[in-house]
Amino acid sequence: MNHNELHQLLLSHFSEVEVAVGSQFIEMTVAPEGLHEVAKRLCEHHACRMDFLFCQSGVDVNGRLGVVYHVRSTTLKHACVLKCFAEQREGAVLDSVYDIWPAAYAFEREIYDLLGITFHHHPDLRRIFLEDDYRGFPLRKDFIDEINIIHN
Amino acid sequence: MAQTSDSHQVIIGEHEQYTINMGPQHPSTHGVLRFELSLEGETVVGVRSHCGYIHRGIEKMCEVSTYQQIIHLTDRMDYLSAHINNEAVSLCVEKALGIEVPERVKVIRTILSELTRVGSHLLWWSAFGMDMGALTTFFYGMRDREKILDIFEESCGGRLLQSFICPGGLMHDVHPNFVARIRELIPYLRKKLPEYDRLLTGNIILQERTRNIGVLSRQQAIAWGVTGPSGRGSAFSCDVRVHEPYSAYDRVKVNEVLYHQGDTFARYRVRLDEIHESLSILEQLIDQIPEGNDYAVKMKPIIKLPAGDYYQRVETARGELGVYMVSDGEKYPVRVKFRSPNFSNLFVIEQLAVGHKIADLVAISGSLDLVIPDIDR
Repeated sequence: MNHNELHQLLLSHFSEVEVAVGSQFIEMTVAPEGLHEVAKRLCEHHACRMDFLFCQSGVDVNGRLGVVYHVRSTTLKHACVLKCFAEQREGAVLDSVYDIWPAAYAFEREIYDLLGITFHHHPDLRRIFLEDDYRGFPLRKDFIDEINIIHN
Repeated sequence: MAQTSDSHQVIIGEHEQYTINMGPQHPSTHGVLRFELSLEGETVVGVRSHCGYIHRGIEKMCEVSTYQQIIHLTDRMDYLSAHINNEAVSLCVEKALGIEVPERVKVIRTILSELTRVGSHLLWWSAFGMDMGALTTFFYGMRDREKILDIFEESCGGRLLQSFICPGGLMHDVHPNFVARIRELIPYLRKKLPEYDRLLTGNIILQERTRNIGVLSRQQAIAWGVTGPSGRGSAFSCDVRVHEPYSAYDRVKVNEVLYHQGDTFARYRVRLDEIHESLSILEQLIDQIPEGNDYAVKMKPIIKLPAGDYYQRVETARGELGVYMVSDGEKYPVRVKFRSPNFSNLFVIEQLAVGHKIADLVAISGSLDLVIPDIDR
């Protein structure tokens, strides 16, 4: 399926989601309350079948915390991007997609560790790299580490 | 409960569970990784992996580094695929800027990537033999990998961390001996590889210890994002070189090695077959290096990517490496995320090892070919 066909397909099946054509992927932006449902449909819909979550990144852009999901279909060979931004910075919460794509298990633990986004219904949400008693979330733009100062 | 008998020996009942740490300093985890094992006797009933012992915050450092500086950090992730990591970042920057590198650069990059893959698989084979108790393999593998490192040293200056591929092309031109050395290497390795099979592959102890051990189904591989040779051992067709060719992979014939068994032996076979496959790619490319000496396009001293986000994926020796960059148009990226193959491959071990013995866990983790700095970044 080419870029335009996928764009049309996503537009027709995800009318409530903002669908834009990016430089590389079709980019969908979804509100936190619709995230899990849209992700589930992306994975299970017979024309999408995005069964492979190949990258999940936490971002802190324009003062908002969010998660970017890169998903691909191993059968239909197309890919798209799903973006979701949390409503607030302190106590940012999103739904976990672990039950849809188990690969999210590790990605979400990493995002929780470094950006402090909590994932609802994640089976084992702990810090993955930093110590359990570490304070703060280093990849946030407002993070200041007084011990190891890195700034530009 | 453990009981103390008269002779002060601790007797553990048949169905009693206990917990033991394997690592962070353990030879068969190949780095600082800790497995928290729940055991019943010698049988593994649960594995929890703990990482972060070598977390250096590379993604954080990238946010205060220029795009040229990021190259040097990527070497230190999967240090056995240094060239390929460099290439991933370079391709991402070039894609963002819309730069087309010269043909010669593309071919040389591909050759370097394939040499890296061969070297990495040779080291894996050496270490895997050691994990299985066959010490000789280490000498065989290291002897042959040395030839590849010599080629790198001559052309790039570094043996392990080369930082040779950079945005715009290569740091400098390759050594005049580059082509001749590779022409010598290919028949040499082709002659040596059957020795590997005679020494280890056909060995009945290795086969008994790897067949039907740690079976990963195709569905599991896709769901957990297991890529690279580990995924291809489960018939998950995930070779980026085939599905989304980059550099010069579009002009060579790449046969994707797939096995269907999904067990430790299948992963073993995939890697050995991939060495042959890489040699055939090298054979196809070595005569195709265009004449001349252009090794890079002129880049601005300070690279600024147009605002937006960019994603580039490449096939390292361990699987799919993705680079996700967010730029706001300044000289430093806003966010760089590395989707490292080992990070995704690791957590599947928590399912594969259950029901097997501790020694089998060593075989399984060996067959996943984990490089710990790539997990922790």
